[in-house]
Amino acid sequence: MLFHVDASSSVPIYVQIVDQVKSATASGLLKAGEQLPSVRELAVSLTVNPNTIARAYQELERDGIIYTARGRGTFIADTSQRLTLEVRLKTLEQHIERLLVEAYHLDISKAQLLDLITRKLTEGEGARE
Amino acid sequence: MMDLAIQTKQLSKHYPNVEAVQELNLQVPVGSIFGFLGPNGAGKTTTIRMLLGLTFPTRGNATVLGLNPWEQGSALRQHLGYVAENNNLYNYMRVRDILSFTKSLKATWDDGLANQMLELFDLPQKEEVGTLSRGMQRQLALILALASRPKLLLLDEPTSGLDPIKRREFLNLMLEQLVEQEQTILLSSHDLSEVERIADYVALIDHGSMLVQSPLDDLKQNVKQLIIGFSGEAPEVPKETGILQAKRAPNRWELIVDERVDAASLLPMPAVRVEERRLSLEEIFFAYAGGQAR
Repeated sequence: MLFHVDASSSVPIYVQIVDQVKSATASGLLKAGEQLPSVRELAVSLTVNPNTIARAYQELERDGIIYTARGRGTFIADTSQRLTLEVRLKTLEQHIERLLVEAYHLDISKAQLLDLITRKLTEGEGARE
Repeated sequence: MMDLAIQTKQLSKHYPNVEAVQELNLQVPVGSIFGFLGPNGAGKTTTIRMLLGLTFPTRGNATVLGLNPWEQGSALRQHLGYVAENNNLYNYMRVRDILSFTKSLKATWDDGLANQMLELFDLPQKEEVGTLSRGMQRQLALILALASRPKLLLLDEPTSGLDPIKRREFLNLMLEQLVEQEQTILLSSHDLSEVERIADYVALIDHGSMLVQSPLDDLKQNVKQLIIGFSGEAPEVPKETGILQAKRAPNRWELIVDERVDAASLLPMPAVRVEERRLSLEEIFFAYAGGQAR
């Protein structure tokens, strides 16, 4: 089973599933065109509410990670033609806003923040090579 | 406006020595699994018995599947499945007799489903009910309630007495049914972990009063802990709605807040540190229950 949920976690179950699908597609574990289990199958195999699975799938579809073909099922989308740049930037912007608020409360200067981001980016490049 | 399977308004039940249920406003959406939670003695069973029309309220009213449970009780009970906390089944009947007896009372009885569950729980059909173990009697009560494919299932602590594997199998069976038809399930429990898995709505009651009622995911996303550190002495915590729990240490606040609180506007002076942490359902309920006790 690719997915698992920790019901007693503070992260809502639907978010756990969204995150798992996202990271499985990012790492190539799930490939474009691959079929996902139906809402009902996944609900029963994880023993979670079908509405929760449906909500996770809705979210993933909205983000362009998966698509539903009527009558055929739910599939991983082709990431190359996923979202327009505009939408992707917008999504990232929300995360950045949260980061800035946090940085403000923690009294982190602009230079320190930029430093940190640059360092993390370099680390990430190193890991990928 | 979503369709509600159960709606109560100021539903109250007072006994001479105790106010068992106080002004309860329950809203259970059609097709939901509604976790009705609270410690033992919180008023869960009294509420469920009122919804069934078995106990009269002192005040307030209720609509269940569009019907008044006290005036249209017998019509309502055709569409209900109910498993009581302490089932009193007919001990002298054999398992197969009580099945056919119940089948004769319910127009929508499904033999296939009944057999599927009998197989799952591995119940001996020829034995008398009184000779079964407590766990088995519980399983039998569940079969009797589920096999008529009711529109609304009222389950009072349904999985107590089931071992973990049977419990999981039972929950899956309920989920499968829920997908197939627009069934609504109200599940009372003091076991948060089980409810946390399958419920999409939860209500917490204590001492007969509702502490919170919300979609489960919203509750987990909105309620959080804030730890706010100050450079000097921490000021008094302001009284604001949405602060569920407040602890003041010499140089910090430890707050549990809901979505109405914005940390930035709360602060009377700049903080040196603000940490935000999400909470488990257990921690969230503890915060609500603690707030009540003060």
